[in-house]
Amino acid sequence: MHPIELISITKRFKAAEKGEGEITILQDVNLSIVQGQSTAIIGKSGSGKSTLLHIAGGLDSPSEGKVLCNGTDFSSLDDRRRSELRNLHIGFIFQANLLLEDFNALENVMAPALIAGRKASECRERAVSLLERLGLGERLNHLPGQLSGGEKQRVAICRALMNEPEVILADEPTGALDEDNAAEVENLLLDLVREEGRSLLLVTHNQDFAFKCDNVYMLKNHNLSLEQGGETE
Amino acid sequence: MMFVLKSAFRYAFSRTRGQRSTSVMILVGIAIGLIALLVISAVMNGLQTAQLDQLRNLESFDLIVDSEVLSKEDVSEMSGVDLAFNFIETNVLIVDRTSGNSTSSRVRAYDEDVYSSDRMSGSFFRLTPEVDDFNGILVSYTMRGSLGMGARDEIKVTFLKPGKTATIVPYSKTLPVNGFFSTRMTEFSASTVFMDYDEVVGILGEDDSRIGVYVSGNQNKVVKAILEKDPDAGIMTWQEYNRALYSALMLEKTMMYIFLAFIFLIICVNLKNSTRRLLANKQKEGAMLRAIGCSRRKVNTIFLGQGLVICLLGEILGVVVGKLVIANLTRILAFVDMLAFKVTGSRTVLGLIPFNASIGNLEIAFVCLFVFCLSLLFTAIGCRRIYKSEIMEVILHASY
Repeated sequence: MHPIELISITKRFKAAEKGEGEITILQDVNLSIVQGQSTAIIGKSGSGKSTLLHIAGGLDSPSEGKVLCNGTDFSSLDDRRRSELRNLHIGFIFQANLLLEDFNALENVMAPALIAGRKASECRERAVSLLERLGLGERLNHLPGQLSGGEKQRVAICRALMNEPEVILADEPTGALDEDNAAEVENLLLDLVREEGRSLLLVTHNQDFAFKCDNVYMLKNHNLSLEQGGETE
Repeated sequence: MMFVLKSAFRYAFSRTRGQRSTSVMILVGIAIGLIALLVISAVMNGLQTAQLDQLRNLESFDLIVDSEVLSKEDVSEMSGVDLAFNFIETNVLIVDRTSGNSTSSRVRAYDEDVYSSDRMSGSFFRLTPEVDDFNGILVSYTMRGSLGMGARDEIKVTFLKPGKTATIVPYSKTLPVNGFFSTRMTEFSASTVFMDYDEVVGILGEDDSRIGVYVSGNQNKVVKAILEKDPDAGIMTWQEYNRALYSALMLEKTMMYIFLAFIFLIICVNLKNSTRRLLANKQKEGAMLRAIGCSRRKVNTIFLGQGLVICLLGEILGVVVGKLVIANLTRILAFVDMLAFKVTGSRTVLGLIPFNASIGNLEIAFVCLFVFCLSLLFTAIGCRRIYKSEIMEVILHASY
């Protein structure tokens, strides 16, 4: 069973101007994320990479097609069950430093586990271990505003891994970082995903980063074309 | 649940984007609204209590019994009865023979010993000088001023109904002014004179005589006991006897609550807008919480909880300050009066408020509940946007 499977996904948006009908972003896209493998999607800005990632994570709904998460169709679930599935099986990393501003690094990492209803003491233990592993042992009680861009992104990686999800969805995780920090975060993310046996679906402009992944797809003309590794189904 | 509560507390006083000052403004707004509601309620309560006390002291009795069977002695012996006495009330025309001035009035005729009872000789009714001879008439200082009469003046009292002996024309009698009284009820003082019961019975007979009863125990039990002894007895409570005034007081209080509710409604509209402002600041956080596994409902609960925390703290502040203001209202008003005197050179009426503002715990609880429900409702209305916002959109905006 694939952790995430996209079947004939089509996504259309209503045009901003009246009378222009709908704009098709994705057309009949199929993609299976293989357990333990990393998959990258590259493409031009506005090609629909982020939209595809959000659909894969159940943050957005497709106009047509199905998204299966561990064999469960997202569209068949109500908001509560969909949120539960997202919480337990999917970890998100966003381009911007999307951390909870009023919570320190440790609390940010603990958040998904607390939402899942796990005991605070257990959550704390795992969160501290993850943060220490990513070199943030001294920054546990720092608020996001007191962390550098690279540190924030490392906190976001820890948060994505907190609930030990099968799949990590990363939307331009190094987009807002300088070259050194970007390289550090890239390596950390790929190493962690491999070490922990997670799957990774990465959306990036950075071709070097993308081609470090097992599979690379190009999103072009509303559909995916294989550039490296496996193949679309 | 712990996460939801923790987040609600954290967001309520978040330091980011001026959130804390907005929250404090909402909190103070709720507190001020609540203080206004409590203080005005307390003042109205005090005013009402004072008026009703006055009404029950002299203007009326707890019960008025019209019975052909029972005497005042029979009623006095009943359990729960504080005092029972005969009285007659009738309309008269008064002419001061010395000055020639006249006015219409009503006569209250009591047994002599009633004047020295606790109810009558309390702070409300003052009789000066001490009266030895009740076979005259007692006039208020207000009436004395308006008619220009003096002690021992003779006044002609014309009874505006047929008398016992003169049954066709109104009966008149000249009586000396034996004493003056004062009350805090100007209208009462201006329109009432007191006479001895036996004197009036001698003129009008006993047909209009009734028994006034002051009750110290359960009023309903006394009514039941009277009806057991005389099923045909006519009994009126003081509320029924003064129905018009009593209803007016109740209406006044209800209307006041309605107007105060409107005032608080305006505060609530402000609350809704402020909640929206808080949410606009936290929309990105809401989207993030959704992305990491919070359901729409959970995110909504967090933001509702945020409003709840602010509302509860506002209520606590409002109740504490409100109670302090109520307890020190006389001092505060005297201070305001003094300030006004220093600025304008003239006194206001604030320093002369003749009652104690008070509010019961049940009433405070009711007002708090009302404020809480209304605040929660408007916070919920303010939170509705969360249901409409698309997380993906918010996250994309946050990314660019």
